[in-house]
Amino acid sequence: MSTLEISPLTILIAAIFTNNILLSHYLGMCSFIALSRRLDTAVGMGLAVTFVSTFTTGLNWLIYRFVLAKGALSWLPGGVGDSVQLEVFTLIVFIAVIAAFVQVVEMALERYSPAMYQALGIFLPLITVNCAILGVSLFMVIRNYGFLQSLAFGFGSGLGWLLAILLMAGLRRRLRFSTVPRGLEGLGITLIVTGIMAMAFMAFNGMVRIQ
Amino acid sequence: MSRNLGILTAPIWKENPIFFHVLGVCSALAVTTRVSNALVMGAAVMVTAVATGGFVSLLRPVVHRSVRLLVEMLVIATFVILFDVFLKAFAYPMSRQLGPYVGLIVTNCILLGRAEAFALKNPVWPSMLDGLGSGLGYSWVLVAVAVFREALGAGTLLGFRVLPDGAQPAQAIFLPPGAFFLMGIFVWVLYEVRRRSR
Amino acid sequence: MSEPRLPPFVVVGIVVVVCGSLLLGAHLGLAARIERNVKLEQARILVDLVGVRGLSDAETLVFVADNLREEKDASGRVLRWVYLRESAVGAVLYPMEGKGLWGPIHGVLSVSPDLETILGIRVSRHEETPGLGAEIEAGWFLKRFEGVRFTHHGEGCGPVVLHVVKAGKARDEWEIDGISGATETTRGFDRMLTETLERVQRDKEVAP
Repeated sequence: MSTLEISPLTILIAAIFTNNILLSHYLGMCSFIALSRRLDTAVGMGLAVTFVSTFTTGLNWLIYRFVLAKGALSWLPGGVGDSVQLEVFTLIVFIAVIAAFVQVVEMALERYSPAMYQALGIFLPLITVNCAILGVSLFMVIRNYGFLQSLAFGFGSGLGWLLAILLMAGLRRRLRFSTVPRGLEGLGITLIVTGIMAMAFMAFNGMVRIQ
Repeated sequence: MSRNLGILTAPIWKENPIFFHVLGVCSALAVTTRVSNALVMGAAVMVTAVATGGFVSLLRPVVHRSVRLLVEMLVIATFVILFDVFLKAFAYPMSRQLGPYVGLIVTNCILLGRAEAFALKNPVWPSMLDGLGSGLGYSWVLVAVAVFREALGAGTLLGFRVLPDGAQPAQAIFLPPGAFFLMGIFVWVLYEVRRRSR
Repeated sequence: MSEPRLPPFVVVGIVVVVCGSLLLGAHLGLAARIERNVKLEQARILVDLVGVRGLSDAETLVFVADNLREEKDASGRVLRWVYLRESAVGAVLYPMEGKGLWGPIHGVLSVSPDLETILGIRVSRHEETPGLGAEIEAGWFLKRFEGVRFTHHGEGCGPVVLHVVKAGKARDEWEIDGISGATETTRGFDRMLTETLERVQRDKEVAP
């Protein structure tokens, strides 16, 4: 089905700009709103999301392709794999992989790079419940991406999320000096500014051509 | 009894998870293009919240602190998948429409948040009530937003036409910016109402 | 609160087993039903395309099994369905696959028995923007293709000349207006349709 192969580069660009996981799929809103108050937390969380999303998408792709998907176990000898169906566990395995990965990274950082741990450590546990990460893995299955496509999608989505939260943190710094109607303070104005950002990002729409 | 009633009703308005705790905003934006989607999604969160509340509270005496997160995630994911499987079996078109967002309930902070904050410290019955209340608080917001979005964006409610003939629905409300703006305005109105009522 | 006496890993093990068996039970119990739903989704589209209305779920599946002959290639992919009405060919249906702005588009194309005219199109799966690109599945758009020819009359196996163009830009009977505000989706839809119609043309060469 070569006609259906979208190049990984296209997916990468699309995931950052035209198909931003936050601005067009609304994923990762909770931490986006909570952590965009300050620029440094926004950078930390954005980098952590990019890192985790890239690797867990790759890991989940491998696990889905060779263990969970329908007929994925056909590499087992003696036709054992054909009778086993594990697809129903997909979600639970994905979330477990993400949680375990985050745990391992946290321990590794603490052990080998205290400086990085200082910067990113507190964000890592929050990532397990960041729906952007799980969302990327689920979309990858639905859209039938290959391995490289999935990696590009995971990396691009992370970068897109980083870009969005960075912009938001910058905007909110300015917002502190403007008078906002009292009921709009906090959540309300953040949502509306995000809407304006989503609108601006829609202008990227013509950027990616499907060949 | 009145305490239980309080547990049930607090999350519906005073402690509404979406507005006043900013939990579960993602799906509130994503599935509110149709009232029917919002209803099913609300039901999904309600059912899974009640089930996880009860289950986590049941396990409370035997779960060690070090593994409580793991156990909570397991329980939540199980009930979400169960709902998803039932949806696929009995309402397939709806399951197709909601796509990955049913699965994403796993990361809906409402479930984990309530399990952590309430079910781990309370008996089974109040924990289930708390789940039901949180689910209701989440659902009514979802449905209310969806009513606006479907009526303005498609000119229908639950598929029946409500806009007068000749009125052109504003499809922009289905696009992401429309969702963010509408939600922002919704939050504004509710915050004002809450402020005035104090 | 007193610390529980059971070791943590035993508790986790028990929870895993309980959750796992719950899921497996639900899956085993409902797998057949889910598979039938997937089949039914496809069958409903086929039945709708050949113009039969008001069938129940079970009748739909029976109708497709009885009246549509599925033709597959060596690898098991469906090439076309031949609709037999009163022992004559009523229509030929082709599965369509293409890509839109966000993801794959799937659909079915129905052409007349002489493979000259489009009878209808249905879109079964897509990921396009709600309200814009997603309108490719809407009746008002797909109606534009009903009864449309896609090669110049008399040329038989000539090239496919029918195209979907930018909304409002259709100049003659060989151009069909796309969806405004959804240029990329329109383009993807056009490519998918052209590819499928070229397959129809090749079939025409083999078996006129």
